[in-house]
Amino acid sequence: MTAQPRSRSASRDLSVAKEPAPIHAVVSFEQFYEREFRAVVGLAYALSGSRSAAEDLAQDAFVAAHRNWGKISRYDKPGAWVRRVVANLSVSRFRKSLSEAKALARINRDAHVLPELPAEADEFWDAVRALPRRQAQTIALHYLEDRPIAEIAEILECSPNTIKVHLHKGRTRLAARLGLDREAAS
Amino acid sequence: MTMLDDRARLAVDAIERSVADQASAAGFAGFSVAQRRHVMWTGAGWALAGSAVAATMVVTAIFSPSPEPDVATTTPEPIVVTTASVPETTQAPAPDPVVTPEVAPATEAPPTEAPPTTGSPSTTVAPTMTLDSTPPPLTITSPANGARFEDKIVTFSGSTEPGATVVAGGKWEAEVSEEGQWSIQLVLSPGANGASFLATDQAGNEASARITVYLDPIEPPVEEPPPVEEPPPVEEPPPPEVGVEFTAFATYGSCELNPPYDVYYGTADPGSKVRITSEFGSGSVYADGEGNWEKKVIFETAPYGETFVVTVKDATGKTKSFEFVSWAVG
Repeated sequence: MTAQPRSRSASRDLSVAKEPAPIHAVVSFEQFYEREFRAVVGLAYALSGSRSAAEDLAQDAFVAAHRNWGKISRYDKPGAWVRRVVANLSVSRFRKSLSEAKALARINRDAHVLPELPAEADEFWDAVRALPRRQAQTIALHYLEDRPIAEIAEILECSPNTIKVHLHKGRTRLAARLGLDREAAS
Repeated sequence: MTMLDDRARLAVDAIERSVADQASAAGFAGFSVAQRRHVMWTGAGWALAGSAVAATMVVTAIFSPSPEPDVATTTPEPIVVTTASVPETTQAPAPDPVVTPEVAPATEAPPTEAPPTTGSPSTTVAPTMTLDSTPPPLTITSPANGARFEDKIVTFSGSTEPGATVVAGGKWEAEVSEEGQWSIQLVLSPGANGASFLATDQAGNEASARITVYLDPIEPPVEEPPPVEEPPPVEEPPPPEVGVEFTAFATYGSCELNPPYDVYYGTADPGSKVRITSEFGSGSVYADGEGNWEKKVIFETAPYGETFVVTVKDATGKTKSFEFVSWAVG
């Protein structure tokens, strides 16, 4: 961890670095959890549509993050990793069913489910979930987290151009499903 | 698409409200027993817990020191800057910057609280207030500006005024000791990294410092594969035979039926053509996938009792000849 000038970079002019890269701190798992959990539950809720399973899906993603925290904490964006996990878990029918079963097992004990969404919002997310998997994930990250293309690409491990296509097609299909294309046309 | 965006905004708001309403969004403290079972703090780290009860107890102790979780609080509480207590004596306090109640500049002054009225009103004298408008000292002792690193995680440290807070990059709060020594681990990106620090003392005075450091990640060396010992020479097995040996047989050699015929069969290269020719009848056939072939050849004009030659020839020119006699009575 000591500064060690290296021969191959010794000739670099340090003064030309006019726009240093952003820097971020190493956070503990607890800090990471506290900071990210709510948003990740929201993503799981939007993509799974399950009020009962969303928290379990997010929880599973965080447990996975904890198991690999030594490695993940060194990532530039650990939040991207956990979002990728939950985005994939949430659109997996099997995992969703499993999480719902787990959640149902405890509903009777403490009725711990997310509040129901208003009908209009529910219809919107239903339409998102009806999109192809990648389009749904892209749309959710775009709207729910206001992520730029580059970050969505990073989270979903796609190229930015692929995300652009998913976003364009997803928005077009979504507008059609919601009848908003006709409204726009008229 | 504006209408879609408007609709999306409403849907996003609904999700956010829904999640925010949920107690668990405040942290582990609001989790159900089943959820808490997933993870527990063991002191040395997180681990899967086998006991729901144990997990509940331990997790609650760590994440919810208060038995009533605050739904609105989702981030760690900021460090509370404790202001010095107002002395109860009639003497003005000593001008110690640490224990003297500080009054911040008007623009950033935190609300000053009235002194506690613990004593008799007749003996209470308004304390002397010292205006602290001096920014806290802020030094970065490590690393040096322009330092280069090969490891992306770097500990930055320095000193500031005791009681001040130090924030890196506008949001990452460093640990500050009672003596004012601060440190924080930051993750560098490849290339130049600007690390800015802002120290804020109890009066709200601020000081900033900034350095640029560089990350030159080492590309993992390409490991040479370990030398492989030459295996002992193995005797080359004989090359597999290519093709199938040509063979040809005649079933009968003579025939009393009219028209007379014979059936020839044998082996040849799979898929190759076998021709059967004679003066009185001919035919051809392709060997099957295993190299077998069979062909019935009718010698309709063969003369009664006269022997003639039938030649079977494969694609490579190998031949085998047979004699045939017709005893068919016309």
